[in-house]
Amino acid sequence: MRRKMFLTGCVLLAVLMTLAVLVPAFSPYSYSEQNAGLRNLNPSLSHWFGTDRFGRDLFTRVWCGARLSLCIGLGSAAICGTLGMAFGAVAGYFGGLADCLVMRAADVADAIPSLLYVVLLTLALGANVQTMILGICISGWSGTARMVRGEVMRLRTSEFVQAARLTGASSWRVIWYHLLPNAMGALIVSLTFFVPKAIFTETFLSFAGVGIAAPAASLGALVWEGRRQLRLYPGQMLYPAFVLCLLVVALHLIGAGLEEGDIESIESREFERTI
Amino acid sequence: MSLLKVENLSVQFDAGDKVVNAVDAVSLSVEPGEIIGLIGRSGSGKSTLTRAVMGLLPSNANVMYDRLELDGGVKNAAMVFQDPLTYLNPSLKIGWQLKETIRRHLENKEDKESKEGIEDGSGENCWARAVRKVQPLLARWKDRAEVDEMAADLLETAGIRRAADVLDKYPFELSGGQRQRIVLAIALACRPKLLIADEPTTALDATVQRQILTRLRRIAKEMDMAVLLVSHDFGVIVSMAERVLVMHEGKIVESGTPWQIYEEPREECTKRLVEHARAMSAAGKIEKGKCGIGMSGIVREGEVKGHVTQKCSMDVLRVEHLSKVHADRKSFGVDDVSFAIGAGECFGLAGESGCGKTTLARMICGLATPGGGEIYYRGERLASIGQGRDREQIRQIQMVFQDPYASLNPCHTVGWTLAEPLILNGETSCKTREVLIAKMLETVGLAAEDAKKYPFEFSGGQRQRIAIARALLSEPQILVLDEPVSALDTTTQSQILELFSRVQKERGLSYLFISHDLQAVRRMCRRMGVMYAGRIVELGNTKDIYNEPWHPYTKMLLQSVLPSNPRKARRNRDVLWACEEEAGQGWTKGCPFAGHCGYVMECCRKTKPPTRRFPNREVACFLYSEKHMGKGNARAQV
Amino acid sequence: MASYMFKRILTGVFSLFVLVSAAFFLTRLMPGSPFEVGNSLPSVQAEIEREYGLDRPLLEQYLHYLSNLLRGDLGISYKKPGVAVTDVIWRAFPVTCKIGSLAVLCSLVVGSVLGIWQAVTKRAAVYNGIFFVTILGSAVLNFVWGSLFVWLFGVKLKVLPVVGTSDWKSFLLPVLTMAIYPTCVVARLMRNGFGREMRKDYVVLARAKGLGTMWIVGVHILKNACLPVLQYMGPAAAFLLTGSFVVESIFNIPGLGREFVNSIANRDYTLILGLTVFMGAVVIGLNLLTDLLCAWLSPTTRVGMTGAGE
Repeated sequence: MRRKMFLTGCVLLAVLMTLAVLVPAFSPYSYSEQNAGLRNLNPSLSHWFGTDRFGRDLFTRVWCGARLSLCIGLGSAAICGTLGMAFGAVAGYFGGLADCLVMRAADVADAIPSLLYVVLLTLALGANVQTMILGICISGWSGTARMVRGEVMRLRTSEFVQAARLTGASSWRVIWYHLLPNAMGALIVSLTFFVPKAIFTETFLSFAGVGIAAPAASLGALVWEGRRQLRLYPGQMLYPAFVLCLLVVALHLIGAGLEEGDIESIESREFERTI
Repeated sequence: MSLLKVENLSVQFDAGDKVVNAVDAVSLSVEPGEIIGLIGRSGSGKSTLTRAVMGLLPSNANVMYDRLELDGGVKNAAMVFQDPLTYLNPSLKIGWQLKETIRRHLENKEDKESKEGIEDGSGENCWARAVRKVQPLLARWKDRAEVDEMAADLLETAGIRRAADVLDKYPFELSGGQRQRIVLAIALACRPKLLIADEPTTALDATVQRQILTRLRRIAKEMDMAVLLVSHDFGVIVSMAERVLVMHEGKIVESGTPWQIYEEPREECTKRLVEHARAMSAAGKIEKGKCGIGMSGIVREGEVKGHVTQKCSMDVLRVEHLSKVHADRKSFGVDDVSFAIGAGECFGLAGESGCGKTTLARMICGLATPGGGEIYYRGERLASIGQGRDREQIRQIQMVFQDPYASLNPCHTVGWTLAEPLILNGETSCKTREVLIAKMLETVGLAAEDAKKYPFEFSGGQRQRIAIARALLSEPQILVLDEPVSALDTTTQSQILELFSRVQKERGLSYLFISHDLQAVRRMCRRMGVMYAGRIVELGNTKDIYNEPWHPYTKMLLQSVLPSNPRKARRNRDVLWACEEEAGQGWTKGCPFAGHCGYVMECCRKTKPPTRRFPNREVACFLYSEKHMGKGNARAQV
Repeated sequence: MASYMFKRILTGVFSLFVLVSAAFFLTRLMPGSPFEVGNSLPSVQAEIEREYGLDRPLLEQYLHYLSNLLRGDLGISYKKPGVAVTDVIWRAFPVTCKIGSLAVLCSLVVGSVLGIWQAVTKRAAVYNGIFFVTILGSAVLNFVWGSLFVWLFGVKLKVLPVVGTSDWKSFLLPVLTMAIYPTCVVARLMRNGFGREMRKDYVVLARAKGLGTMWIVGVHILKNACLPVLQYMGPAAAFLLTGSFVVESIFNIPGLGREFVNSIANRDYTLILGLTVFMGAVVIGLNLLTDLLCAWLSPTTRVGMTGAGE
């Protein structure tokens, strides 16, 4: 069951990623080219998802948007994962002042509304993917850091860590080779749930008017745009919403599969011990 | 009529792709009021059998039987488990956990009574029915005092006299012995006719084990309760049971009186079991007669200059006045400990859990920073790892940890784990490392191919071998063994101890052997110290200490060893224990043992006894001070 | 416990101070002036700026702001002449808070019930059903739900009002929209927590004691399994209580979220700052509360905080 969930998620994600790469590359339409004669068309053989109110091909735009959303989600997950791992491990292992500083910094990063600094960032760096990733990462690392810190604190006093210190390993070696590999499972699970959150955050930013500059649009921005014409042309909102939903479901399936798999393996280990 | 009758009970586990036969066609019966011992190695299906009887197996277990009859149903049976900490809910108070059981069984009784009542007066209207339903709820409030009283009673039966202290605490605040008593009280709250005790004392210290077993025996007699006692320890079984069943690989292979099993074991596995038990107790033979305060042969303090710890400059490790305050800052973890270990010597350290043995071991290895005192290795002073012990010094003193399941990193292969000390000590060639690791694995009794496997593929004993290999690869001079066998089976224990002896002979290592198991210490060490509440209360040659313990605590410790010879056990069985209540080893001004000591004097409560040094013996007790020695001599003269 | 609380509150206050400073300088970094309206004369603009004290050195403005803040004065809105920032907050917060707290309550109750049910059920259909409902719930953006609800209940069925905050009915849809995502997360955390705790030994003892299943689930396991839920719910509640711009603009609710986005669009410095400080205080406060609650719930930390120095 768990394995099936994980595999389904992986396959789904792979398919979506392939489409996001291939469709914009081979599509006869451009995502930005407006065509006054083809406004608000219903789906047809030439325009699979129809066209939007500027006459742009929605199918192409959806997959371009998927590419942007994936870039933002995966990119910020990678950066936040690294940052969170580093800060969390330092805070959890050394404790004391380092711990206090990192944790309070995380509190502050959580508490400042992201809109505030993203506005500044877009003005300074332009409204592009990198800016969005940077903006999400400013506060996104805190959750990962808290999680890694908890894991590291739990493992820090365990006997295998003490044994490693007795072989003469330095603190950094202990963190890198002994603590982080053990925290990795939980980290990966939390990152699979982080990716959708990052995509949603970007969506919120584009509602608030500081998202990626038009005509490029992420999936979230497409859904928002489609909402204006929901009553007349529901497809303009529902198609991108459906793709976004598939993307998030794929990630959730992977996460849930890994999570449950963890429990199962622990259970079978217990089984070996008691029987 | 039998209380419990089981015929052809089998349990299979569905573990994914494979099916495991845990219990295979077992038949047994328990008579009312009888104490039956069930013995077998770990993994022989003992626990599974008891759980199947109680109906407590997880859903992936497949239970089949021809007959499984328990007089009065499962309600008439209760169970005591091995590890009392994990079996108590960590976030609920003891009082809550005990009282809910009492209430539950009160309700059961009331239900039964009220049902009988209805049959008498069947013309009951709905109003009366409603009242009857509400009544128990009201009664529950009225019953509070009664329930409190019952809880106190049960705790007293289980051996906790000051109930009020315990009821308001969480499980983690109590000692192992107290927790086991609580679990026992909870079991008794069910008013069972059959009590199943699954390794009830395996996780406990020898002294506490003895107390709990005595308690259990008394309760069984008083309440006319049958006990099914499960253990891997022959001593435990023999001291309790009237009839013994031997279990091996899911089958009951042999049954009989303890005497029959001990003297004429029929099956191969029983023979092996008895053999190991004999080997262990042969080493731990106690000569009972000499347990008085013997003063013979004592030379007055001060007459001899050189004492036991300052033998010569050949000492590899010397510890002087080492202390460290507990994390909660309420008591000493380690309090002014001094001793020395000679080259190629195995020095034993015995004491119950929480006496500071592990803290001491960690300080010697450098994993913890001492609060005071010094550690010398071949005359040079050692700092802790955090305060700059260098790699060469770290290498010289290695440690083997208690829990083989926690001491190996589950993420890395055995080969990786073993390569680490080599890499860090400058062995750069990959080929050489592989050769060294293969050789080391063979030394500790594993195969060279095992290097490619992950820790979870090994059993506890094998993992401990890997941990030993890791320690040896640093080529240390001293090996600190912190309870290295206490998590293992009796059979595996003696194999690992043999390995230690062999390695010591081959490499000329010095050992610091720490254990709560006196028999293991006796087997391994020529010299030993006895620790209590952070102090070494007695130190000397193992033989002398066994033959003539001086300190009252040492005496108590030695008496609590359970003999595996049934005849001795019978004699030993009904020795009453004077000081059963466990007092916390808190911050006292006087001797920490004063609360338990049979020889307690006024001065014991006021000041800590200093350590007095005699030739071949050190002891921290006022009984051996000049003043009282005078008295003792006088008595001897009379 | 008392010393832990004290330490935690002290650091909380410090975080709040850092937050205020960061927010102050961030808003000052924003280009454009709130008084750039149409083509007003530069001299007039400078005059207005002097009026509001914007020409003085930044540090002085900062200290001035801090001292006002200590007295509970968040300043006056630049864009809405004569309206105090505190007034804006007190007008918008009750509405947002009402919706937010209802959403918190709803997600805790429904999420826990779903999660526990999923964990204890032996029927694969129930397990998988809840599993897919929760995944779907958390995979679809909340404004898609919101738009669909508006379309379905407001336009098609015409059973519920879709704008405003006039009566209790008008709260239903916004609360539902806001609660969907946290409900699904709570259900997942609860399921995992229960799955983990149900395998523990103390459950075996509880069963051996003869306790009923409902009692074991509701008392014994719940108390141990709810910690991760609380840890999630603290920060999540903070965001629900400070309002969601998206939900508020779909249902046309005059709440904090909309106020904040508009203030940024208008470059209304004092309002941005005031709202940031207020929302940040709520976030930090609820984080603190969660930490204290978790510490209180787990007895190891409650009794004496042992091991903290180890």
